[in-house]
Amino acid sequence: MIRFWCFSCFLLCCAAMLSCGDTTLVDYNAQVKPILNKKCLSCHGGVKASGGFNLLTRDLALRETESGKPAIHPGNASRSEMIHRLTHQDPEIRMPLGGEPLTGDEIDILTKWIDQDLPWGRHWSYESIAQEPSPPQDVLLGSIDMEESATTLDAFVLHELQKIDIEGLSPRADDTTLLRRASLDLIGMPAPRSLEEAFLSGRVSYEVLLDSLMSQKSYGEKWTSMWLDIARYADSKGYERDPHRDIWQYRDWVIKAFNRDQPYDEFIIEQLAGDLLPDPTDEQLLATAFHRNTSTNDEGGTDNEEYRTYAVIDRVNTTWEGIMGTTFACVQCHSHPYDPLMHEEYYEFMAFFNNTRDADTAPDYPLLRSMSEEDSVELDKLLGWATQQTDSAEVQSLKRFIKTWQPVYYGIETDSLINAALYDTKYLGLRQNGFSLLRDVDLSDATSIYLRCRAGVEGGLLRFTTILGEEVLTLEIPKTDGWEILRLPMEPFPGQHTFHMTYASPTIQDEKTVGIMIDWFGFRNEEIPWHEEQNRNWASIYNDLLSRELPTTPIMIENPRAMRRKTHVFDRGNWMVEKQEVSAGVPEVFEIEDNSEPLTNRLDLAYWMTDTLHPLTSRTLVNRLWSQIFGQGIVKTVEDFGSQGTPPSHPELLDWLAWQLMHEHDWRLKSFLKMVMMSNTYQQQSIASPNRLDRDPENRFLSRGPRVRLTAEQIRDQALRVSGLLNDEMYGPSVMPFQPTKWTTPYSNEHWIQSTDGQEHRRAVYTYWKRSSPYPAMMIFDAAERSICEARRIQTNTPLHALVTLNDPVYFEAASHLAKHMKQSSGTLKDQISFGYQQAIGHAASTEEVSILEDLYKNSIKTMGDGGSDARALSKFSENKEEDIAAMIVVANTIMNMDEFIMKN
Amino acid sequence: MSEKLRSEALLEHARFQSRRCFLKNCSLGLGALTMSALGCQSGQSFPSVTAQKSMDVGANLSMYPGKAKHIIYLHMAGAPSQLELFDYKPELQKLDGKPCPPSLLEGKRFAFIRGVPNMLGPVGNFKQRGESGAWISDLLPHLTHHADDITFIKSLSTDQFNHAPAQLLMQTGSALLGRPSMGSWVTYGLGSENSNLPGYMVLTSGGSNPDGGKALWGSGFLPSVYQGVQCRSDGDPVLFLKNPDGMSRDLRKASIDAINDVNRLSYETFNDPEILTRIQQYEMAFRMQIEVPDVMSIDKEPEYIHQMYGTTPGEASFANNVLLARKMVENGVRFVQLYDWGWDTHGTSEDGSVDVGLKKKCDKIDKPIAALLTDLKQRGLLDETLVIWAGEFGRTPMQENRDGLDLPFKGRDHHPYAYTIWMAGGGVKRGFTLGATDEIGYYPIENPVSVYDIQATVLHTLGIDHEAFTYAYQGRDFRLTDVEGHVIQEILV
Repeated sequence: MIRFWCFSCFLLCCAAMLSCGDTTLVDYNAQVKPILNKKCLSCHGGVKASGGFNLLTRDLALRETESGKPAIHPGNASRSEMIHRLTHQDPEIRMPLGGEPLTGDEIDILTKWIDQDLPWGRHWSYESIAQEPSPPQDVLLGSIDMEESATTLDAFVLHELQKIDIEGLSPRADDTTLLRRASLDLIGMPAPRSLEEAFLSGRVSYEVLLDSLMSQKSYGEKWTSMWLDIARYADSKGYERDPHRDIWQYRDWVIKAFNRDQPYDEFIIEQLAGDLLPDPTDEQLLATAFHRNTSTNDEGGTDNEEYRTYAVIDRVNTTWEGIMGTTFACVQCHSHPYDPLMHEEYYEFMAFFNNTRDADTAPDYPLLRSMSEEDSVELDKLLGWATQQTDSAEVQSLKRFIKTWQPVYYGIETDSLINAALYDTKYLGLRQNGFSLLRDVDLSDATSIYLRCRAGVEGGLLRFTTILGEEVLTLEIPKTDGWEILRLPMEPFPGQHTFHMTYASPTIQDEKTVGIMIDWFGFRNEEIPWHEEQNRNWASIYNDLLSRELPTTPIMIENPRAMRRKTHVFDRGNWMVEKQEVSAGVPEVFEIEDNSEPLTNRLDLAYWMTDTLHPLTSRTLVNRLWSQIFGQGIVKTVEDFGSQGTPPSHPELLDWLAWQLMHEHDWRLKSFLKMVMMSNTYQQQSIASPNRLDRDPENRFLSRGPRVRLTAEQIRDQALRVSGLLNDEMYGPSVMPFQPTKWTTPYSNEHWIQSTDGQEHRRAVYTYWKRSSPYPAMMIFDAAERSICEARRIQTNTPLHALVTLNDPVYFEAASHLAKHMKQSSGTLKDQISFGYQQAIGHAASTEEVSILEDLYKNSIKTMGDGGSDARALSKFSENKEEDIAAMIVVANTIMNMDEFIMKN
Repeated sequence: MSEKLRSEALLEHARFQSRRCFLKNCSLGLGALTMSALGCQSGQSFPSVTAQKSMDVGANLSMYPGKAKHIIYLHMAGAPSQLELFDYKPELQKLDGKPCPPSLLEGKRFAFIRGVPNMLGPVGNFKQRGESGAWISDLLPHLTHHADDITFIKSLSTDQFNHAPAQLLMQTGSALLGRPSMGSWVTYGLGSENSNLPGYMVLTSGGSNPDGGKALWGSGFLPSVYQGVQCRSDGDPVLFLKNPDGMSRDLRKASIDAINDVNRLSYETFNDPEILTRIQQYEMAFRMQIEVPDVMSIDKEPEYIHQMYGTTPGEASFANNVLLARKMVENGVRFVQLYDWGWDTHGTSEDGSVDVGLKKKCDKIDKPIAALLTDLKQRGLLDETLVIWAGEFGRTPMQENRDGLDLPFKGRDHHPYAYTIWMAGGGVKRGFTLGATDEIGYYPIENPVSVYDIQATVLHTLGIDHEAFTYAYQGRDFRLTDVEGHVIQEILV
C-alpha cells in the first residue's frame, strides 16, 4: 500500500516538475490523439461516453461529467480528475478500468497537454490544403543530391529515403520494363505492337509513349475497372433471385468520361447530382446511375421501404468511403468512436440522398429511356411544336416525362388493401370491389391522369374518392393489350389528398379475378390541347414516344416538392425506430467557411465535395491513383483517412500531389498521371538490392520501382492481347465469356449463356457481373464482389491462381493461339521459343530460360510419343493437331504462368 | 512490437522457409501467422496471404482448448417447418382450421400471409424418442435413433423474414451483403489441417444454389483466400482442377517444374520474396490436383457405406454431399458447409407443401444424416466434429393464404419468431433440449436465443472467444457477432 502511495506521489511530482520545467509544446495529433485512441476513446468516445465523459471533441471534453464536475481543468492538470484517475493507486478506480495503466511517458504527455490549456488539433486529413506545400528544405538547401533531371516529386521521396539511410533512388529500369509497366498502368495491357516498336527503336521518347498510351481508347477501359469497384457496378440486382439489371450504359459513360479526360470534380458532380444540373443532358442523367448500383430486393413480401432505406444508407457509405476516404458507416449506429463525427450528422448527411424517387420497385424506377437518333429527332420536333403551345416549364416537364416517366406514384406505394394485393410485391392488383389507399397525392389542378396498367377485362371502373367521400374521378378502364399507358382527362381538383381507390367491373363473375394490375399513375397539369382534332397527329407521336419499349438505365431523380421525404435519426441505426427529424447538412468538422449558403440538395453537396478546400476529395483520389500505380497508397488504408487509418508514408508528398491535381492540372487525370510517371521515382527498376530490401522491405518508401501482381482484369486482358485473341470492340451490354458449366445455378431462368463470335474475347471490363455468382476466374484473383463499395482490393497469392492460369480453358485457348504464332515465326526451335517469350513478357529470354523451355518442349514430344499425353486433345483450340504444335502449346501455357508474366515489374 | 519489426520477422519467415518446414507448418491460420510474426511459432496458412498484406491483419484470437476441430453445417435452404419435425404442438392440432386470433397478427409483417389466415395443425406424427425423450416426428425415421446424440434448440428467433437476408444473417452475422461468412472467420482464425485441401469447402444440392448466393460463403472484407471453395458434383470438383484435355500428369509436373525453375531465376534477379511464395503455391496446386479428386470421389467407398448413406456415385445429391463432408473432415478440412435447396413449403405447389413436398425432402436427408452421425461416432470423429442442422427461420403456425386467397396445398409462411435447429458432436450435450415455445409454437417462452448466440456458441466450441476474435477494417474491429451474442452455456458439455 505504501509502495503504491509512493509511486503515485512520485508520478504527481514528475507531472508537476514537467509542467513547470518543460516548455516544448505538445502536439495533439502526433502525441495526444494516439494515446486517446488507444487507451481512452473506446469508453469515453463516440460510442459510450462512460461516466458522462467524452473525449471526442474539446467542447465535449470540457463538459460536466456525471459527477457534476468537468474531468478536465484546462491549464491545471493537477486539479483535473482525468489525471488523478490515470494515476490512482486503486486499480478499481484507476483508468483504463481493468486495463494496463498508462506508461509514465503517456501520462506526462497528457499532463502537459492539460497544463498547456488543452490544445486540440484537427486530424491531419481534415485540414484543407490551403496553399501549395513546398518541397523539402534539404532538397532546396542542396543536402540531397538531386540530379538535374529529378522532379519535385522525387525530392519528397528522396527526403524520406534519407531518413532510413538510403542514398538516392534505384537506377532507371530498362526500356522494355518501362514500356510494359507504363502500358499496364495506363491501358491495363501491353501496348499495341506499333507503339512498342516505335518506343524501343527510339523513334518516340518515353514522354511521347505516355501521351500515346493515354490517347488510346483502352485507357478509359483500364481506369473504369478501378472506378467500378467504387461504384459497386454489377449487371444484377443483388438480393435473392439476383435478377438482371440493365445498367451497362453507366459503365460506358465512365469509360467515355476517362477517355475525354473529364475533370474529376465534374466527374463527381455529374454522378452525384447530374439530374439537378440545369436542363441535364442524357449523359448527365446516365452519370447518376452511379448511385443506382445499389443492391435491391424483388423477393415477394419484402418491405420496399426497408430495402430503399438500405440503398440510401449504402449511398451515404459509398460516397464517404469511395470519394472521401472516410469510414462513415459506423456513425449509422452511434457517434464515431475515434473521429469527431456525430451520430446525428450521419442522418443529416443521409438527408441529401433521401429525397430521390426510387422505391425498390421491381423495374428499378426511375429510369432513363434511351432513344435512338430517329426517336430523338421526333422528340425534338414534338417539343418544338409544344413550345408554340405552352410555356417552357411544361415543355421541360413533358420532355422529362417522356424520357423518364417521372414524376409518378408507384402502385406498390398504396396500402390498406381489401380484396387487392401487391402481387409479388411488384404491382398493385385490384380484384372485384378491390380497395386501396393512396396517401398524400398532389393533384395541383391536374388535367390528366396517366396510368400504366394491365387490364384483363372490359368495362372496369376505377374510382377515386377522398377519405371524406368526395368524388374525384371515375375512370373507365378498357381491356388492355399487355402493359399500356392510359392517358385520361380529369376535372381539376386542387390540393394534396389521401384517396380511396376502388375497382369494379360488371364482366367479372368471380371475386378472385384480378381486374387491373397497376404499375404507376401520375397526375399532370397540361395546357397542351392534346385532345383537339387538329393535334391528333402530335398526340399520336407523343403516345408513341411515351409508350415505346426502349433500353433503360436506372437513374436518380429528385422528388418534387409535394413528394418530399422527411429524414429522421434512426435510433441506434434501426430504421424502424425513428427519432428526431433532421435537415440536410455536412458534419461540422468538414464545414468550409467560405460557403455562406446552406447546402440543401445533392448538387450543393457535390459542389461542397469538389471545393478545392475540401480536405478529403483530392487526397483520396491522388492516393487511389497512386495505389493503382505503386501497388499501395501513400495512405495504405485507401478507404480510411481517419485517425484509425494508417498514417501516410509521405504526408507532404500526398498534400503536394493533391494540390497539383486541383491547381496545376485542374482535376484532369491524364496530365497528373503523366507527371507521376515522368518522375524518376516511377521509373526506378524494381530489382531490390539486399540493402534496400532490408531497410524498406515493403517498399513503403519507394526505394525501388513497384513490383505488383496484375489485377484480375489485367491478367485476363494481357492473356488475350499477347495471344492475339483480344476483341477490342467497345461498349454495349456485358458479355459472358467461358466459365465452367453449372457455375451459375440460379433458380430463376437466367442462365450463363456463353457469348460467341469473338464476344467471348472482349476485355474483362465487359464481363457480365452477377453479384450472387461473380465470374470465378476473376474472383480468384481478388476482384471485388461489387455488392458494396470496395475501395481497396487485398491481394492474395494462392494455389487457386495457378489452377486458373494453368487450366482454365480461357487461358489454355490463349496459350494455343500464342503457340500458333510461335510456330509461324521463323528460325529454329530456340528462336520460336524466344519469340513467344518476347511476345508475352516483353523482353528477350535468357539462354538459361530458353533451354528450360526447350527441354520442356522435348519432354512434351516424348510423353506424346509414349502415349502419356494426347496431341490431338491438347491442340483442341488449334487447327493443326500435330505433336509439335501441341508441345508448343505446353510451352506457351508455361510462359503464360511465369512470375514475370503475372507481375508488373 | 513495431510494424517494422513485424514486417522484418515476416520477411525472414518468407525468405528462409524451406519446403519441408512449409509443409509441416501449414496447418495454422492467419491469426496464427500474425502470432508467428510475433515470435510464437512459425507457420503458414493454406492458402497464404502475401507477406506484405498480412500486415493489415489484426486477428486477436483468444484461444483456449476447443472441443470441436471441424464443423459440418447442414443448412436447409428455404426453411424447414419446425412444427412438422421437432416442435410438437398438440394444441395447434385442436385449433386446426380456426381463424388466427388477431393478437398474433397485429403489428406483424409476413412474407405472404394477408388478412386473417387459419391455423394449421401439425402434419407429422410425433413421438418421444430415446432416453432423452426428444420429440421427433416420423417424417425423419432414421434420425429418431439419434435423439440421444443431439442437442435441440427450440427457442431460436431471427429478425429477418425473407430467405436471402435471413440466410445471410445466419451465415455472416448481418442481413446485408458484404460481411465474411462464418466459415471464412473460422478458417481465418484456425486455418486448415491439410495443406493440400482448402480449409473451407461448400457443397450444394437440391437443384439450386441458396437464395443468398455465393455471398453466403464469401469472405467479405477478409482476404479472399478465406472464401469457401465451392465443390461441385459435376465437372471439376474444384474449379479448374483438371488439366487441359490430353495433358498427362507427368507433363503437367514437367511444366510446373519449368515454371518454377524460371521463377527461381526471376527470384535471383528481383529478390522479391513473393516469388518464393508463388513457387510454393504452384507446387501446392499440383498436389491439390492429386488429392482433391481423391477426397471428392465416393467411388471407392465400401458398399456398406453406400447402403448406410443411401449414396449413388456420380449423382448430384444431398446424400453424396453428406458422405463427402465426412471424407473432408476426415482429411482435415476445417469447415464443411452444405446447402440443400427446396425447403420453402408455402403450399403453393405440391413440392412446396408441408403435406407432400416436405415428406419428399425429409426422405432425401433423413438416412444420410443419421448415417453421418453413426459413421462419425464409429470413427471417433463425432467428439471433435460439430454437426449443425438448421434453416434460416421457422414456419408459421398458420396456413398460408397468399394474396389473401386459399392455396391448393397445406403450407406455412415464413416465421422469424421461433424455430428449431439442432447440433450434435464436438462440445455440445447429447440428448438435450434447450428452450421451448408457447402452445402453438409462435414465440419462445423458455431460454430464447438469437442467431448471434448460436454463432458465439459455435465459435466457442472451436476454442474461439467471439468477443476477442476481431478483424480491423475501416477503422473498426469487426466480429462475426457484431456487438451481440452470448455463448449458450447450457448446451455445452
